[in-house]
Amino acid sequence: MPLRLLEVVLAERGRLVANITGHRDLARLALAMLLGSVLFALPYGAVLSPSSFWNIATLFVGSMVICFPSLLVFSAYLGVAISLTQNLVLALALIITTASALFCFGFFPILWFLRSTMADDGGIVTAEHISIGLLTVSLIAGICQLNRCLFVDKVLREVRSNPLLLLFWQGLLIFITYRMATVLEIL
Amino acid sequence: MWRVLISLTLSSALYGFTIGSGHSWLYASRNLIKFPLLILTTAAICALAYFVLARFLAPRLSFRDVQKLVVLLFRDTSVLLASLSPVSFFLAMTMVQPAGDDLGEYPLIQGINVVLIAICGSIALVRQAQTLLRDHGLGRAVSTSIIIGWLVLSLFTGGQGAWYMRPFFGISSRREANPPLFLGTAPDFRGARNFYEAVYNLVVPPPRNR
Repeated sequence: MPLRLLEVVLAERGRLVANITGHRDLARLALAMLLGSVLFALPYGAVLSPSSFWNIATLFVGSMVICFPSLLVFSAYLGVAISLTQNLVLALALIITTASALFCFGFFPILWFLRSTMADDGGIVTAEHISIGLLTVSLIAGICQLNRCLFVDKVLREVRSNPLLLLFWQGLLIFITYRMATVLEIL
Repeated sequence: MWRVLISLTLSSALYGFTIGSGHSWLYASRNLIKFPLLILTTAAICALAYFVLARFLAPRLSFRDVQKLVVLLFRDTSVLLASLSPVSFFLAMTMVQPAGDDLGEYPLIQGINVVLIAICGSIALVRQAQTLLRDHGLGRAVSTSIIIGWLVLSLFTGGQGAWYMRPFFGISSRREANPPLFLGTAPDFRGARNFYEAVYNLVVPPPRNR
């Protein structure tokens, strides 16, 4: 099941978009993506800080929860989401968190290796610095995946008809994720 | 797959032996284990990341496909390097050995080996990119992106692995009675304690103590 989610979110973009736009089991899909966002981020969080293993899941999902209402309201207000339901927007937004969590899942063995082989008493470059880089790459990959999905299906033209809104919202998400990382003492 | 892994191990062990022989037989014999260990560790640690990246860029590649391609990539590099072992061994045996503070031809030999590794790695990368293009029907841009992504991951992780497992070459004038198998987090002559600090120090050299 977890690997199936990896397949769906990262590899089968067309199918994922078809499911979302076709409103097929949208609530279930959103729930699966939400669970995936949490579960795939846990190993990385556990390696980074065993006592706060939930940190990375909170970072991605928490930032999304904070930013999601603005995407929903702004798209409705600007007339972008003519036929969009709440679940559809949620599923789209969750592509970012799920893809980011999946990348974190790919990176956790690397972080574990670096933490095992690098001195942990300060220095110019530490495993924590590298971890920030890996988390940034994960977030960027998640955002790229959403944008790639938006351009797969013509039905999603409505959503991408206002690129400024998307750009603004993605910028907001990055900023909130940064703030969240500061609050969670990941930075 | 076992045959590929065995040839990877033997080839890299042979090349590792030759680069260590410039220092001493102790270093050479240790490299028989250390060099294959470095390559296999890098491949194992990055396996998940290779797969996630491949899935992100090319949906058709399965986990097995990815691991096979990566192992073949490392195997090709190792075999190419093994073919250069006589060259490396000859250079190691004939180099002007370091004496005191004079490093002799040590930097030259080290530089040549780095270039050899880069050349072999690049040739293997190009070949595997062509394999991706041919066997998996991926576009040129996608194949190149995947291979470059894998290369970045390998350098990123393998660099720290090599740092932790150093010395591979060693400066013979600084022979110690009982040199450690791995120097681990011990600082180098610039004070760097990991691969990334060493790279940073190359870009921004630390002030010298007077």
